[in-house]
Amino acid sequence: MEEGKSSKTTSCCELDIRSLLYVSLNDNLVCPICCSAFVDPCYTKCGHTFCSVCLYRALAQSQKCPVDRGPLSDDDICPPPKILSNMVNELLVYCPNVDKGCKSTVQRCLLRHHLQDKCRYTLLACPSDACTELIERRFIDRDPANCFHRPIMCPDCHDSVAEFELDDHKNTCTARSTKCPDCSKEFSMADIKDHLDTCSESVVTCPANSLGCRWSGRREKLDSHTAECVLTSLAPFLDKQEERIANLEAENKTLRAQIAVGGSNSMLDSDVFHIFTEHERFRSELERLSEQLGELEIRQSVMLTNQTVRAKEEIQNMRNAVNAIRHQMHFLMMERRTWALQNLATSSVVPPGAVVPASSSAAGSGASGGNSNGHEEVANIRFMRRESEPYRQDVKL
Amino acid sequence: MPGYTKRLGRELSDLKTNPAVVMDDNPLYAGKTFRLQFRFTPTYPIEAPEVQFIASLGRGIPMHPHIYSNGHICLDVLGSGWSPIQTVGSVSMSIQSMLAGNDRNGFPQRTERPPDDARYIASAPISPKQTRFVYHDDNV
Repeated sequence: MEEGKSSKTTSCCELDIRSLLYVSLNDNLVCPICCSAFVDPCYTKCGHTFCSVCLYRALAQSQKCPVDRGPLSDDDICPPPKILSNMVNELLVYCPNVDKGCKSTVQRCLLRHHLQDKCRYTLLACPSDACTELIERRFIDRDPANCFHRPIMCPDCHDSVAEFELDDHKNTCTARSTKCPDCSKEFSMADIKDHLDTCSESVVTCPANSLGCRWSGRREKLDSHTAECVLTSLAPFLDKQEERIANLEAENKTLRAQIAVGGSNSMLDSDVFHIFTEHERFRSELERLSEQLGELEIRQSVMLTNQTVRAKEEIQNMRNAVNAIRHQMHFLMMERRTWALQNLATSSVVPPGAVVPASSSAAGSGASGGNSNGHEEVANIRFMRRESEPYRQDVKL
Repeated sequence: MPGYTKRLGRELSDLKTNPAVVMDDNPLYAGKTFRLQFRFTPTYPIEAPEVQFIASLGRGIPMHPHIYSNGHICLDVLGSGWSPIQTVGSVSMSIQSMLAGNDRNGFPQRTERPPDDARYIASAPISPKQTRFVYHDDNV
């Protein structure tokens, strides 16, 4: 991807800022939609920040803030605080030509300038009139007549090769000869690889190196070493052990997996599940019953209160009635008493005219008779009043 | 859509360092492994990815009242509730918590397929995104 992009940077217009590599990036400066540092940020009325491009694309899909899902329209978007734009523009990025060898890090806002005017690896049109190829800026100062893409002849195989490909060609040219670094003999490029594997002069290590043998020496001495090396003779046995352990490990792994798969589907699991659901059912039943019980209790107490109130009312009514009766009785008693007193008065007024003056001698008997009569009346009245009293007390209870 | 291919790369490396895993011990799914498939359209992340469960050897489709037996998932964040700030990690978390929340209210029927499962899979589109789900149940 990097290469495709950097070839575009010749025109320098299609720089994809989102694919840049940042030297360090604060999470607060990352757009939640494209997950890269803000590019041309914008700010919503609900306080969230996005790249303008990302936000408008998201709004075209659904008119909601991507973060809080509140309604959001194009009118609710405003430019961000200047400081935010400055912060993202000043972020340090690696030059997109880093894989070609450009080691510069520049502020993001200056990257375009760097690629256009400075980066030595930017591809530019070849200055040669006849050539339509692109070359990197570091080669642009060459003599235009000496175009980099001009075919030249390989000195070894006499093929024609473009100059810039010559370095690669040298490593593959079959006709070219090279020296073995160990035995100093000349070999063609095609044969040197085979020779390096067999050259008796090259330094090799013991085949039991991985088992701990530290020996290394020229290849011609290897045979005599392996003949006496204990580790080399043990190597086949140890390899077999190693292989066996690996097999057992793999088998163990599959068995484990089988247990995991079988265990989850076994009868035991379904039994436990059954018990679990049964338990849940009982629990909900219990909850339902206790709810019903509470309801009944409430109904009971309401009923009781209602009844008590009614009984109290009735008692009050009865008390009122009794009071009324008592008043009536009192009134009647009073009437009767006055009547009795009047009676007494008339009976004592009429006889005195005949009796009192005549019988001063018989006053004792007459007076005593009249007296006794009057006592009887008073006693009668008293008795009647007394009679009413216990009744009154009864009612009060 | 320039730049959004990079986002998937970032999500992948984030998931490697910090996998989205909900620790849960729901006995319904304990010890089982399921396979989720994400398919990203070129419009991702503006539009939701296609996400569904895939059955394979040793990996079934989890029993859940919102998961059809063909692996389609009835979840609002995969349809109308999608927001571009969601990631593969956040979607995985949503699905895991959907599974974890199952059968917590003591309803034994929560261990079953959706009520219209047979009817749906008979005429289901290949992509779950072509179904217009009605999100009526918020209990699980």
